[in-house]
Amino acid sequence: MKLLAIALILTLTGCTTVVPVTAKFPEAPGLQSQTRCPQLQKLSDNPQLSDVAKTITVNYTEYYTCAVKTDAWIEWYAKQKIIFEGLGK
Amino acid sequence: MWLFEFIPQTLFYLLFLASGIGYAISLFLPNPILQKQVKITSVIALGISIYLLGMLYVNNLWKERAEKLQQQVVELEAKSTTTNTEIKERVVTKTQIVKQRGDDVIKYVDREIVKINNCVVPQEFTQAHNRAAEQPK
Repeated sequence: MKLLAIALILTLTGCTTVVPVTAKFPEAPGLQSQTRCPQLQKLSDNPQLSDVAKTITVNYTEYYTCAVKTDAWIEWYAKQKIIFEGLGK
Repeated sequence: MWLFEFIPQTLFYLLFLASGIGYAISLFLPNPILQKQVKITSVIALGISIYLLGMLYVNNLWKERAEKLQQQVVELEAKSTTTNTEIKERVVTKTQIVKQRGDDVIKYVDREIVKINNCVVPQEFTQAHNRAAEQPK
């Protein structure tokens, strides 16, 4: 009876199927996209008009740099999703 | 299935064949007790071998599918890398354009706006700007 039980267990565990398919998680779109967006610059006390213009320009530049990164991640997600969904078809 | 990794596949076919032959032999045995014993053993062995052959078939089917899928994964990984490279290049180009534009505007400010620097920027303006630039907590 014991032998039968052992044989049964061995047979049943022998039936477990491990599908050997491994897929790597897709890489990020470059190191540049992985850096956080910096804080915006503030005006100093009693600034001159040129300081105001410069600070605003720097902040706009930071915004657009950050927007480029965000757009890259949006595109990355959309494209990787299409690629991932193509698996098994 | 690890069972099929250690036991040669031929053994399952041999077991099937042997149990069939055993059953056929049992029909011609003169001793009824021996005939019954051989018949029962053969039928059990036949059942086990059919079960194992079925499992072997399913296992081979899965293996084949897994290999195909792995092949597809390799192809899609290459596609994914190409897409990433394209996005990466676009990020670098666009960032350069944005930075260049910012630098050009700053140069313009240094050249032209400094000429009208004599006006006073109100304190309220500075405060409003700084409040807007502050990161939300």
